[in-house]
Amino acid sequence: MKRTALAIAAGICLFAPGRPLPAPAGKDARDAVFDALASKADLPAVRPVLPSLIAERDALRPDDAGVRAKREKAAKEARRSVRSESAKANASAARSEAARAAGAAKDDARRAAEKVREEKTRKKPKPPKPPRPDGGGSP
Amino acid sequence: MTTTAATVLALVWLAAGSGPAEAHVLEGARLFRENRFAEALVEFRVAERLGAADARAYAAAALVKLDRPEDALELFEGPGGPAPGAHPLLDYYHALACYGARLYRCADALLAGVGERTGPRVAEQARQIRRDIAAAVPAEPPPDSVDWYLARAAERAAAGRPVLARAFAAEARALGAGRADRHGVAQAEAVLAKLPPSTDPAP
Repeated sequence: MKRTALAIAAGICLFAPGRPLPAPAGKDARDAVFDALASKADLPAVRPVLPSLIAERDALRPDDAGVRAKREKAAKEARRSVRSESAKANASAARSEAARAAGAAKDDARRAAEKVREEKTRKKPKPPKPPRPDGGGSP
Repeated sequence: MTTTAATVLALVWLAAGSGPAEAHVLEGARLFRENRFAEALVEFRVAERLGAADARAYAAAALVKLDRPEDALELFEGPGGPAPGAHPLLDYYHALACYGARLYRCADALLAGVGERTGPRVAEQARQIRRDIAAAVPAEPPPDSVDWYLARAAERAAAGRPVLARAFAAEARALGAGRADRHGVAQAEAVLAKLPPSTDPAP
């Protein structure tokens, strides 16, 4: 009975696929992460710019008289409220945002999955070597 | 004796269980400190898969540094994300994700709660960002801006990203509520009502 209980406990230890519930990382790990996060907590690179639907549509459409008029109006408003440098940066960010986000998310998931798979493969215990018969093998 | 042995073994197993995940969190922290954010992100993702519950928030912070605010927002505000107020530094990074996605009201609300708990440097930065937001977002924003957030919410909902759709619709509602005519508020509430109920982040 005792041996059975011990064998079951040992079996759980050795062959459990993972922890049943997620748990927070230990204190050392948490401290290390928060130190790193604090050291890299910077100000945003661009100033805030309230977006405008007209300005964005305008930027994506080909030129015509109506669009040009709208663009001039939007540009005038933008000049009044924001710095032109940050406006340019934000407009360019808006254009590239969709393409960048789609590719990057897939890439992360793939790399993380690969790493987990790699670790599982590496940590598989080697099967024990069969005992050599006495006197057998090399001379 | 048997019970004691089984207990000891179970404790050993529980202690060992956090080992691999913790190693990845530590490695992620080292890489983050060295500005290797893409690699740090992978380490935090692996730690999360191995059971480190809070590694999701660290991965979100790495996404902020990689200038992917919308992906970061999905981790911060999706199921299993950190609750606002859980840690001021996570709130700061969450606010940066909102800011990067142009969700300035969202960013401002989070930064208001950061206070001095992150130390004087980050606290001063939080105040600076709030001043910039106050200067850029008028009390009565133009209707065209409210429409931008509504359009973005509809796009994200159509793309199957309800967390982002909710964030943009909430921003539109907050901005529209500042206007005398409450432009866009009803539309924002209609969008929010159609989205699946938000799952509150873990406390």
